[in-house]
Amino acid sequence: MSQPITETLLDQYLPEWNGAPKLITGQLLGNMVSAEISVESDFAVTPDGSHQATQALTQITGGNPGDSFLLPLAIPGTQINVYITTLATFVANCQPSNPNNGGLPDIIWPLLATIPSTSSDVNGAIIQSFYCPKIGVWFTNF
Amino acid sequence: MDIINSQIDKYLTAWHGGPQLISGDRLQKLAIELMNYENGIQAGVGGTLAAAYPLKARYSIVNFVNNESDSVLLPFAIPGSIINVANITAKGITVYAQAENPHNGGLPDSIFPIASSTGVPSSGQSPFVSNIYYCIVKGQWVLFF
Repeated sequence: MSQPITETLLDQYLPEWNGAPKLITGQLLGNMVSAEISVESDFAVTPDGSHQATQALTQITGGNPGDSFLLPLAIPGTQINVYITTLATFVANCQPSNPNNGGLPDIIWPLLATIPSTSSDVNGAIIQSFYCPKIGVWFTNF
Repeated sequence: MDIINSQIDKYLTAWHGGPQLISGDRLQKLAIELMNYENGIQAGVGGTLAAAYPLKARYSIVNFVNNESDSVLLPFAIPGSIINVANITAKGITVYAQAENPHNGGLPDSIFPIASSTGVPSSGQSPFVSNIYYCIVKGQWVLFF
């Protein structure tokens, strides 16, 4: 099952990855790996929420309860995992305008929510996962 | 970004810049790192660190547990690593971190359970539960369920 899905994911970014052996773009390949295993271990949230979490694995070490951060643009296939090292609760905000989705604001569906929101609480000392299966839409496990 | 480059360089030092030949062997290793799985695992009998079954794959299924708290061992905690462990038995298992990580000065790895900001050398995993262990900081696994 994984092979066709993997090819679909790769092909949308690297169309030259088809067919016979050939030269490929090392930088794009590096970007793909970055999307899978990149880490940021000293991320800080801020009162104005301007800092954007962009790495696959992000550890929040700075900020005060109620401070916030910005999720990246909601593009299908993206997953951001956030870990807070304290018991503080922070807020994840969606992008106010997604150029990949006609400029509409991104939205998020927290766990068990019946309507989407533009932000979600992130609890301390857990890994919270944000994943995008549809353009402009985040889901989260808490 | 330094950590990211370091992770990439471990596998494919040629992965920079424009079109170029790359090592197929290293690309395969990356694919294995991201997609490999192991089924049919039996947890180490006795529940000790020494007896723990060493997990090697990103996706592991523990199918056999003789006694409650029999054990498995996580690989070295290297940033960017994600290990999925499914315990599909009716008995709980003990998941150990490595007692000594050569990539972290020989210090022991630790596991940070959910809602805890303190690392521990091992963590229980309940029956019929699938957990995910993330490493963001060298030597530290963060537990996710």
